[in-house]
Amino acid sequence: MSHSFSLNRVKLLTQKYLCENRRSLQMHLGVYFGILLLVNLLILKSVIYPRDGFFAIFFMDLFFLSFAMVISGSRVFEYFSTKQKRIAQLMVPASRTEKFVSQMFICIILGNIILFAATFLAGFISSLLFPSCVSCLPPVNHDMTSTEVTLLIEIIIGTLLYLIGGQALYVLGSALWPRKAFFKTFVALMVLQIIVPLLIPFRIFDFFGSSIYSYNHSDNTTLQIAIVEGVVFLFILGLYALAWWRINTTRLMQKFY
Amino acid sequence: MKNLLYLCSVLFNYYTMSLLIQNLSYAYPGSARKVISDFNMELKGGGIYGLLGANGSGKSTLLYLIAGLLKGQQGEVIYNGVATWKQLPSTLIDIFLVPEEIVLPSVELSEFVRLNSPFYPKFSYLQMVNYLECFRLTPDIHLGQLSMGQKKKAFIAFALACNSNLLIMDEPTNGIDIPGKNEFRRAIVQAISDDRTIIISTHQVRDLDRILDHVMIIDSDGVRLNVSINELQSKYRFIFTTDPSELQGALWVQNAAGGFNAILPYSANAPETDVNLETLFEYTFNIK
Repeated sequence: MSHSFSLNRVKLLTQKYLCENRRSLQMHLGVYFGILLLVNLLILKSVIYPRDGFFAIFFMDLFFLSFAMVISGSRVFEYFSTKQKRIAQLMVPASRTEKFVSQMFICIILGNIILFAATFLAGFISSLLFPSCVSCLPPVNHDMTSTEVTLLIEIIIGTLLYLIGGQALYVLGSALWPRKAFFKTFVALMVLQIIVPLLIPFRIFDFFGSSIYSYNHSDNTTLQIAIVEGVVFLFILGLYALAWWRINTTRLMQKFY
Repeated sequence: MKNLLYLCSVLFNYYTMSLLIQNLSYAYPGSARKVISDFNMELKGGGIYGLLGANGSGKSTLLYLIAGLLKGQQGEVIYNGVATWKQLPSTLIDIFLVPEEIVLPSVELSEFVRLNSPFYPKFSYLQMVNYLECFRLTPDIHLGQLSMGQKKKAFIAFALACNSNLLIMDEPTNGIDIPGKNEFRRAIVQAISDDRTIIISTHQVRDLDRILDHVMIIDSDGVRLNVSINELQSKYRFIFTTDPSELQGALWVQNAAGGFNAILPYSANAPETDVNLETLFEYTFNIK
């Protein structure tokens, strides 16, 4: 018998979590989808220019998606929130690594795919009901310059890193404070946001100079952005590693601060 | 030949199933007081062990340490050669804990079994149905629609059917109704086998006094008494009497409603008596 990792046990753990929490997960997804659809429709109904509506719902959906992702992240270790739940979880015959991987798969990989799909579906349904918001958009320009393509890729990667990074912070928050993880992590991040600039007088824009504001990226700027993205990616991996370490060392009785 | 094989298997299990607690000390985080201090104990082979102790003596903590849910600051709990705090899947398969308060998902029992039984290779559905019958429950119940006591009964039935070699129960009869306590005793007696050890921690000794094979009385310093019921019965007589003249030579006398509970040395011409765990508990804590 494998002591530390078995894919079959990960599958069993995943099935167990999904089936035992089916109703709660369905309800959360339904609420998210319903609110998103309602907000999209209200925006599209209230804007004067359809094109404004498209951009408004794009940014609103992005906001809701990021919010849903951090909520999902802060629920990853919700099963450690009470003593009874910790006993039930810790006594399941599977290793801590398997339990961590299963939970990551459910809340991060599967959860994010479902949230992206729900967001896309809400936008798609809205556009079907208000087709003018899409038809008024200019056609996709196939003659974009290489700089514009690079910029577009950077925006997409930046947005994804923002979403995944924010979620990773809340995953770590969930590992540190399984009870009321979202609220506690939010407060901790607010405090950090005040303290860190005081201690480290460095701003990301200092790294780029004024070129970050310009559409005319030099190769140097692209390299700088790639370095920052790499650092952020490593930072995200570090957050997950910390969360794993925390869960791996969790005992029944422990200070959750 | 068959008997020889059976004997070999019993001996094999006797020598393989071992729980060893060595110099174990534990204090809860943020507390300087050690709940368990330099605790030593060894269990081998099957049987039903009653774990008794005063409030705050560390019974539940000891059970959590045995189950690997806690890690001692000093010492270790070794189950079949492996430290339980490591919580290896191979150890967790063999140790099942029924906590005092349980949390069950709101699903049909059949679905709960479908999702949880694959983790326990020795799980038997037929046995579970049998234990459920003991508790006057049926397999088609929905866990979300049960009372706390019924949930506990269903969980105990599942726990017994998992056939783990070490079953730990923390106050199993708490929250169970009066007929349920009798049903619980019947289920436990059905479940016990030579290769299976059941440790039951309880304050409600009257719920268990007739099914225990072994009694352990502990305080935070360790085991005060660790003795088999047979041994107790062969050495002592536990009597209730209203006649003070019968108390001559008693090792321990305790006032009880309408009379006296007493412990007398065993005498060959006297009948064997059931062990009165309440009296034994008082005696153990007062003889030092």
